[in-house]
Amino acid sequence: MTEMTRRSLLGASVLAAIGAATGCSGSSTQSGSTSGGATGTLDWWDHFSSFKRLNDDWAKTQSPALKTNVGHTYYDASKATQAFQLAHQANKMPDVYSNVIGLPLPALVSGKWVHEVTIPADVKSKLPKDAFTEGITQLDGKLYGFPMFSFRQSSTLVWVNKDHWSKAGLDPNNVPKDYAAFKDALGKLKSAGIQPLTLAIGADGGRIRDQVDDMAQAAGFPGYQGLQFTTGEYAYHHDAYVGVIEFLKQLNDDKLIMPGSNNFGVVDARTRYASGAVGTFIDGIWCAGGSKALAPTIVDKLASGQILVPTSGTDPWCYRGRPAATYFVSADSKNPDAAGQLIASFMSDDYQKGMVEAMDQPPLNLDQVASANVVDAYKKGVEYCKENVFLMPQAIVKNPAIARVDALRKPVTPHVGNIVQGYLGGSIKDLKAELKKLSDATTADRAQALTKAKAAGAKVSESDYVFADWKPGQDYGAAK
Amino acid sequence: MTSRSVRFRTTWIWIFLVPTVVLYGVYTIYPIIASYWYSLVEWNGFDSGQKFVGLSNYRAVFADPLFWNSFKVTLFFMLLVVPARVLLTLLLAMVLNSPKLPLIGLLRSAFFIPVVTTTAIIGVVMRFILDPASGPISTALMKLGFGGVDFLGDQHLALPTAAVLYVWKFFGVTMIYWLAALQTIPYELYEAARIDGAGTGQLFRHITLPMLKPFLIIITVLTVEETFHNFDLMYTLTGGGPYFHTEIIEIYIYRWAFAASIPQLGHASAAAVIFGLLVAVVGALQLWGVYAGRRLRGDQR
Repeated sequence: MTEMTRRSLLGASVLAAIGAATGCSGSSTQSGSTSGGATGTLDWWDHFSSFKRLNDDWAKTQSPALKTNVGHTYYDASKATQAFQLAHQANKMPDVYSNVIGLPLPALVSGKWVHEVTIPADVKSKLPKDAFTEGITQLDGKLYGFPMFSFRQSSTLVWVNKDHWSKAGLDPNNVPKDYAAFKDALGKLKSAGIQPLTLAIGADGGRIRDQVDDMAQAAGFPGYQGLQFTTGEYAYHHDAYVGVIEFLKQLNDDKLIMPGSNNFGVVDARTRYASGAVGTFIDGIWCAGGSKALAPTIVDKLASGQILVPTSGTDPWCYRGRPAATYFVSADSKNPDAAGQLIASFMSDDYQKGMVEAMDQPPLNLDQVASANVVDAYKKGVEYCKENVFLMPQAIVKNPAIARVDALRKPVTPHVGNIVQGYLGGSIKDLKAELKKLSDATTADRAQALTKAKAAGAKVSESDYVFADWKPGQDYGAAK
Repeated sequence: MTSRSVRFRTTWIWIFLVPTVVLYGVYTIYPIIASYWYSLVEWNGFDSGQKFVGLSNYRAVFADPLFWNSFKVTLFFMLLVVPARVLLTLLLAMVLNSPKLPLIGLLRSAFFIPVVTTTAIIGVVMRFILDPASGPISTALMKLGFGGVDFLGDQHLALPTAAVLYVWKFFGVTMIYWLAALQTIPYELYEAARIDGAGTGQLFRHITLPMLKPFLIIITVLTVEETFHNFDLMYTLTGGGPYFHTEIIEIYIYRWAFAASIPQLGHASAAAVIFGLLVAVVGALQLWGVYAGRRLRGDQR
């Protein structure tokens, strides 16, 4: 038998490595959908969990139409930003990607993230005039995408499990609207041996922050994310914010919030709700689709209620900004025309139908929902949003140069979500003082960003944030 | 040996070293140098514009109470973990070093299994086990008439719970260090002492402990250094919460670099450089530990 020497082993290893490399080069690493006869590839990444199956199928159907292999990849929302950041630095951006990066449009354009898109006239005609906004979807007249979801949506609806509510002697089709009645209902669930409520208070606190912002609006805060529309000043220490957080503290102290919620991210909390471990869950309009994706059997048990208000009879009005583009075409795309066509195809009747039926964020045309094959709880949630969510004033719409200020803003921590976590857990004793500190820190951050932007030549001022003519319960400056 | 053959041999040495040097350079040296540069610029990581801002990122980090909170959490975590890891593993290693103990191989492997299990998976699984509403521990407590315990959501319990899990996860590594150290003690010493009438306590106090002193320094310093790198377990267990009570410096850096809506890589890098200096101080202690250990062992010979 011939002995193997170190040199022959090395030689054999090199040959094996070459062989392996040659063999590997023949296989495709493209995941997703391909189609015979198509040439080239078109990569499409997004973070919409409810649309995963729809988008996988859509990639298959679009491959022959676009004469290219469309590959769809889903990323969890919490990981998508990082994936895009790394892909951008490595020049490996997909041709089409969802808008999850969080930078204002001017920063995306100057950072070579996005490519101008051309939308066919028939697609453009399906979009409302409000869909295109300078500084948000277009810059210097160049279009970079269009929204696919209505701004009339909410992160803070009440979702209940019909079986649990019925067992506790409660009417799931008549979910309480005010704090006292809601707390009373949770007490009955607890008495029936059911975990009453869960909330996504943990992780980075981002979801509870959004929800407290919404609930503060419904409680009468005349602004968005601490910023008052009529004065342009930050006032997180407003009574509306204090009232909302004190209400959550009461629920927590009375043990009506499921233990562990202080550490739950959105998926953790939604999984508890979808699996039937808890009777009530405060979540966005997309809860129906998200829960169905986790546990399909929950669909028949879904019922929903509006955002909670402090006292019976209060108008549950909320305000949201103009929607940004849902998808972008990458500046590095080798086939921007096909990428633009793929985005345009999302406005086709077939895709829109699939999108509505996935019960995620509602479509631009909310009237589509009433006749769609979706559960009543989702229809009811959309109906609430249609009547009670209004267009808010935005500094960036008044003066698109504000985008240069936004790009210079820095994270202010602890934010409202962190403060809720700290107050419920006992780390914060003086809530109002902590909220005042947040108002001051956010004001200081905006001031530094304004100073830097002005020094760089931007024509901006604090008055851009003041909307003295804003009136509650109305769309602000909507296109006629 | 001729100079030609020496050169030939040296060339081959360098050829074999090239992959290591290149990979170490790309994945260790370059990121370190880059982070020093990034700490001096304002950059979101998304666009190409990096604005030189001098030391202002450092000033911002030093002025941030949450940085000092994470610094305190990191050091407190180390204080919780190191004594438990070093002392408990020593006791276990002494038990597992006994030639009379049956199933030694099985027991040693059992204690080592958590070490080779992916840390992030342990974090995720432990969240289910420690779930205060439906986890097995809380369920058992509730059946016994107690309430469920929110191990990871309670501000007073979250860090000690993470420390216990960390000690359990890496118990096997320190145990192996101790086993190796124990096996350097000549068995004849114990035999001679026993003949002279020494009991178990005396054997430990007069033979085992003095012979292990050099290793104690090295193992302690190594363990201290390891506890600074705990991102994966802590992030999957608590994400730094509740309300920053478990936010170690690595999570603080991650939050600024990746979790912010507009990432602040300059700020994150400045925090990373400061953290790096802390680890470097421990590294210097480690070198001193190795030196002191060698000297002690030399004295013992």
